[in-house]
Amino acid sequence: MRFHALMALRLGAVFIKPEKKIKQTTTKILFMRKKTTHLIPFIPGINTATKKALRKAFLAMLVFILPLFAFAQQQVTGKVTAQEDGSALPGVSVRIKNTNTGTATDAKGNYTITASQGSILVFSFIGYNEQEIPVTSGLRYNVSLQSVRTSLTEIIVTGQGVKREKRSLGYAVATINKEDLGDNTSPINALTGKVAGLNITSGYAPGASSRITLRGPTSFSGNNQPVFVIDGIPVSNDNIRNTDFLNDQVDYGNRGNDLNPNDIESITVLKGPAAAALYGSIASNGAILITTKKGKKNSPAQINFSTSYQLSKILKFPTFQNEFGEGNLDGIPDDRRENFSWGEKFDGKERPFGQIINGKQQLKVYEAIPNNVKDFFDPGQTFNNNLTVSGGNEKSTYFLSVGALNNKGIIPTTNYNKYSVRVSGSSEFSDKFSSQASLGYTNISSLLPLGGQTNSVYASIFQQPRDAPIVDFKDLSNPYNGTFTGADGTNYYGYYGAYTKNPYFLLQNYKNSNSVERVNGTFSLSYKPIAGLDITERIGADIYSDRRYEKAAKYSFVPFDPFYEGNNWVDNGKYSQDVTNYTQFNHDLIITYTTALTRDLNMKLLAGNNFRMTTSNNLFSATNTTGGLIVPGFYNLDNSNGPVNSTNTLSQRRLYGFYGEADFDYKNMLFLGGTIRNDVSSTLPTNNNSYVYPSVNAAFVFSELYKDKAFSDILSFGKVRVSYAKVGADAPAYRLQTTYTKTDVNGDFGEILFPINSNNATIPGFARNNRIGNPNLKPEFTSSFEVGTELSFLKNKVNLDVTYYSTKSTNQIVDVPIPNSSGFNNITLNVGEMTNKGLEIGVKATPVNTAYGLRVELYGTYSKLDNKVVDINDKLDQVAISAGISGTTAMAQVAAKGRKYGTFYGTGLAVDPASGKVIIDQATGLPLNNATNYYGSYLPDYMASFGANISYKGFMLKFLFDTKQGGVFFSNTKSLIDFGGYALETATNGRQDYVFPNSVYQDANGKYVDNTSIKFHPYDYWTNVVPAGEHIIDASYIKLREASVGYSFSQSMLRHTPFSKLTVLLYGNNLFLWVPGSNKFADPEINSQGASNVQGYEFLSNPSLRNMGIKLDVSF
Amino acid sequence: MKTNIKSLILLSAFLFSSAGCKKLLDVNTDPNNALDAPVEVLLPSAETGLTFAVGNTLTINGGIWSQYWTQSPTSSQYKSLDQYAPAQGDFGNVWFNIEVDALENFQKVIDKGNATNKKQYVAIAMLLKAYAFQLSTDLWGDVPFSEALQGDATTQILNPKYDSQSDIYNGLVKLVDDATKLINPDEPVPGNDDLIYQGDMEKWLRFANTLKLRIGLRLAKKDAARAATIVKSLAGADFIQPGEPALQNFNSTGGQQNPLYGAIAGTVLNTTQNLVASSTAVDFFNVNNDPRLFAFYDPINTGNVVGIPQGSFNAPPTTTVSPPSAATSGNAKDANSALAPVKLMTDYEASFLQAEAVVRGWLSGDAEELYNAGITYSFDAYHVDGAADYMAQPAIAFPAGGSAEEKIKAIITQKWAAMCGNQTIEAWSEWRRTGYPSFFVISKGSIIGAGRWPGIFLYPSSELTRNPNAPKANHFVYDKVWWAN
Repeated sequence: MRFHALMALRLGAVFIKPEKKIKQTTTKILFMRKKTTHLIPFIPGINTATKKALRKAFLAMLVFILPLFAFAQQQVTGKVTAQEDGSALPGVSVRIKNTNTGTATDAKGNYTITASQGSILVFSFIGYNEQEIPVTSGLRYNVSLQSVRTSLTEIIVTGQGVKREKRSLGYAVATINKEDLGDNTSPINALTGKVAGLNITSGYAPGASSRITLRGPTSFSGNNQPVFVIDGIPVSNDNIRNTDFLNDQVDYGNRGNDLNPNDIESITVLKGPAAAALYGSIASNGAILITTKKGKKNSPAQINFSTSYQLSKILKFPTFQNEFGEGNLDGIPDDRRENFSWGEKFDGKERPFGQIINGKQQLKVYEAIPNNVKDFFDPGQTFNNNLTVSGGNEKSTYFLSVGALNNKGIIPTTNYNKYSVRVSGSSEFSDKFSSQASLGYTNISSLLPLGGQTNSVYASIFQQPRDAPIVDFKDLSNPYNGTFTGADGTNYYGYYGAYTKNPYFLLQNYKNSNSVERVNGTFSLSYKPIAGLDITERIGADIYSDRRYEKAAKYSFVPFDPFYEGNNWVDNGKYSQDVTNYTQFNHDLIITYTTALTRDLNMKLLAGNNFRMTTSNNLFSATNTTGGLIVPGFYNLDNSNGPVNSTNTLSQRRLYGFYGEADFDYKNMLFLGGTIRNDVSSTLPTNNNSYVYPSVNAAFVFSELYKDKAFSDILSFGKVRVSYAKVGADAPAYRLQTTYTKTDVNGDFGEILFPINSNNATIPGFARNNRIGNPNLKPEFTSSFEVGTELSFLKNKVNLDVTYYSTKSTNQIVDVPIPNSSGFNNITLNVGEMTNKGLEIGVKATPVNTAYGLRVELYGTYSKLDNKVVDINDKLDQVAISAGISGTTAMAQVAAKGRKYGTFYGTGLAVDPASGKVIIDQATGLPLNNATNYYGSYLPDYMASFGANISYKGFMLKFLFDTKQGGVFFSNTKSLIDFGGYALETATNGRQDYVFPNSVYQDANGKYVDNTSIKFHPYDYWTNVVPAGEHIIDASYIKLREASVGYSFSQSMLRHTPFSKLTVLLYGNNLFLWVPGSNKFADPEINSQGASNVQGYEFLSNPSLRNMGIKLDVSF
Repeated sequence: MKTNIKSLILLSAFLFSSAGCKKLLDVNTDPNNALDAPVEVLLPSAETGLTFAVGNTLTINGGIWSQYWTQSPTSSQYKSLDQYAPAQGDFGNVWFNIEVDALENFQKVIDKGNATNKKQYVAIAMLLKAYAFQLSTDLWGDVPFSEALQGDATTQILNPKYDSQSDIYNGLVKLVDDATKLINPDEPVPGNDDLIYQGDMEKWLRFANTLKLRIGLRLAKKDAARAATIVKSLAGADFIQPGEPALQNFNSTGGQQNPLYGAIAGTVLNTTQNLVASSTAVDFFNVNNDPRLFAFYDPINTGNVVGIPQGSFNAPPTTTVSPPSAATSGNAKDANSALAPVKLMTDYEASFLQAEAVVRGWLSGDAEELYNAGITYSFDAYHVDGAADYMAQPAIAFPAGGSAEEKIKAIITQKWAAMCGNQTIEAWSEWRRTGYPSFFVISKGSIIGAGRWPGIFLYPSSELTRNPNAPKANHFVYDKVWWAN
């Protein structure tokens, strides 16, 4: 049985010359782009003539590749439907057992086949249980197929694309089928809450970064995310971004989100090293195996079109105070320049504000505008259109998909557009040779908002007094909002604030655009010379170019009002190009041999060779950092005022892997498997660059022992599994030497960039690179042990999957930050040991599944992770993951001995260790803020989810809640709105002096005395004293992650339409958020460092979005 | 067809499995950085690392804490300095500039210069290494010294221990003495790659002597005997000559500008005028009819230089305030600020140092003459006339008949005046050592409690979080370094 599955894997393929396919895809993109808005006519009732013509054209096209088989005997017909919802199943293979005769159901699930009485019809369809019907005297046989979703004969894609029965695996895996992905513009986010142990963090804006980890971090500074594999070929999930938290922070997203979710057939999550051992180093954190949709054999053309419209709104705003308005020092509400909200209490009186322009000043009522920030944002709008065509004949299949996603962001002017095309096909062109090919193209163009400080609109709108009418600033032609030229030719601005620029002015003058073009594809050829032996050669490539263009306008405006003197609006302008070209080439030669050793004992052997080559070439060029642009409005490097700042970075790495696997299967009950892999990597020293690592796993399906007993009705399936694995990992490129680099001296602001001119000579400069290389690097290793069980109760109505795992990572290759007094900033070392111990529970139950069509499926996950940094080395107790945010705060994130990875470490309030109370300065009443403390980690203590899929005939309702409990995050939004007096907490005690709660002071004898009388002034505390540690907040949350309600029209209702399927769906994701009361600031899921290891820094990042949409899905 | 495919498989198997593994893997030589660099390109880098530290953060911190400048009420960038409440994060970059950009590269010049027998490079690097280490201990107190800069040494030290300031001062003297012995103008010398003295080793020798004098006098109060020994060893030595200050020039090209102006004109501050005249300094210059006022500050439209009380940034402005002049690199609106040099040591400083040494009886000479020379060279440096008239005023004239303390008060006060805008951090150190000028006021913006002055820099987070040998608790900003106690 098991080996049948393996053979089925070698899908045949249409052998189409690649060039031809590419041409075709190009045409399709153009078509898609132009026609995006005209795809609406496919909706039923509108323009059926066009629709029919199109369909005919497709069918005509297919005549060429659709051979017809017919043998005249007895005409048998029938209809095949899905047991679940009664919907017609097109493309179901209908064969006469033990013959080559077969056909497939048409678009409406109907089939016609010629069969003789006594023969057996076999109905098979991917994702459904095979069913056999004997042909008797009747001429019509309607069949209802049962979905395999609850069945434990599930076929799973494992390492190197090998398909295996789930029951045979000695380690935990999870598969998410397309129906369960939901409607999400991100294929990564779509997995949230669906797999125990999977931790995803994202802001949910289209194109935004998503971080994904499995079973916790294993490496201090390596990539802790699983490898992404599309149709057997590893692809990039890079998240290239600058590490500057403070300024010019743009989230350009990560490459794992490039794939169109509509192209996904299923996603298999290999959670641990055991599952992923065959992929080698890149899979030391697990693997996300994506299988794209394919055409089905013996299926006429299936045309599917879906269109959706989605609205997005910010999920969580900070809670502002609405008591005190514009002003400084608890007064001066008529300070014309002020953007602080440290003014007097609101009194509802009309007051002038802002500049006096030509003798006139604006008036505003001194009262709070509670939604002034919220109203600034637009609703985000996303159109998503997808068209797929697929089919196949006896020997070959084809699949084509085009998708267009067009988004307008919540920040006016921003957008994100993604177009994708995927073609794939398979062919068996002889009984021994078969091949398959798949090629995807993605084109992304976007205009993205700036985060962080300086010129980001977030920094501007969050720093407006509570009575500032922000939306009224939109009209930049109004002199009080925008800029104008005076009679004397002077360029003036008339905006009210001296310290912030008008957010609409910023939007007009700062643009960050991104364009990504990506092609990835795989081609494989299989040769089966003798029974049981399969030789497959698979090559794949992932190629993209990522171009980023950042523009800052050159302008110089002085305030009109002399009162504002010195507060000019000046920018010298900027233009930069940041171009990365990435190529990953991958080859695998895999030989498998399967044989039955005895009647009950089967064996499969696999040997493979892998070569992987990754090249990344970045060219960054920018106009002179201080000189900026010469001519305003001309964005070109030729317009640089001073030398162009340019860097090129080439990164190249290569790796050979040799691997083998042996699997034994005794009576389909006891399974034993093992793998071994040897990697040889270019990034390690030649004497240390070859490393070997093994894995073993065993599974025992103990329910086989009592298969036919009554007990099996209660415990219908039972399996225990155990595995051990080790995976090695190599270093980043170029870590072996200490080098010299072109001199670039940077400070708090400003820089000196060599070569420089001095005494009429050009002086070049090189400086010691501040990272110390290490010629003695060794590979790092992660070993993992897991035990688990899979149990099904009550005839598979309740399924339980429990896993306990323990991983240990050693010899980690880390750029260890070291004190600058060493003369350097970091050193590459093998250090440390980190462990993860965890429990994962997955439950799925179908309590209701009635004959009249009501089906209720409930599912949930729970995972607990206990991560610990066991050791660094004899000289170090901790290494920084991030060195902290320089300048404004002092909060680092560290891997510290005895603590969790990702622990925050930085300045905070000094505390008397005896009483735990905050120590205040007796002279000021203010707390001392000079302590360095640990503040917990961003890693949650546990995660859980609960979801339900309810269907009744054509109706369906789905929802999913998920939660993370126990982590913390750093909120710079809190820091900023505290500073400006906008946050609710700044209005504590009516802004009167008060005693710092639970505080002590040191008396003359050095003793700590409870402070009951020395008061401090809130303004001093919030504008200056409050240390970084006070901006660490509980990151726990519960979210309504997904919800949808839909209706699929029944076959009978569609009888007189050209549609075989029509579904209308209302859906939403990231819908509601519940957080602890202490978090009045931000969604803990947003993060300024995207998908990097540095998590939990919310630094005026793009806010997370609540998305709601309507979708129409039709098949012809 | 079949044979084609077979050969394809065989070909790829050959290509990827058996062909020279080793050669294909030989791609790990860093193409983005150089494996080696000669002293000729390291010295200007290291010098610039030092002048950048001095001219960027330290000029700002010194400018405010020496009460030449204060935070403008119409902006807010340096409020925390006037509040005497900087965050430890504010000291990370300047620490990096000194330790990595400057000191590590001086160390490389020393190592490579010794290896390639370029001794004059070694001498210059050792002198500036001493300069940079003195700067760092004067600002932070105890810092790594004996074990510093050995991250890539054969006996690798990643977490250098902290040496006491007293020990560091002994080390500084030895460094300067060793460097002085190496100086030999007849050997091959650097050219324009020495951005400070263009390889003029005679000037470097006088720089060495002046630096040693500065080092010695810094201990005058704390350890007079040691100070006397250091200073007396300089008997008969030459010091920095008139018109030969140790400085680095900059130009108007972006990325090559004076480090303070480069910061002001850069993309973040965008020429915001944060630094404005403090009345502490403006009043002094006005009261004493000091014409240098207009060299150090630019007048407002009334033609006067106007300052505001130190730390009064919260008071709503009633008038426009004078910005620092372009000569001090701090005028956001005057692009000539880009051209201001960063001064490491000056001829007038050398005169004032000698004057003090003479007053203390550790060097022979005429203190009054040296005092007057200091003032004159300062006027000359800014092309200001009227030094003689200025010095003739009773309030300014050297108190030849006064006590030693009165003489030192006059010397340090005049040194402070001369260092306005260009040697601000040295002026702050001298104020911490001597208490002069005596007319500093506590910033109106102070939030650290009555009677407290800023006396020390906070250790940067990078040291506290990475170096297990760093002190467990940071300083309070009102703590004092050892020699100021």
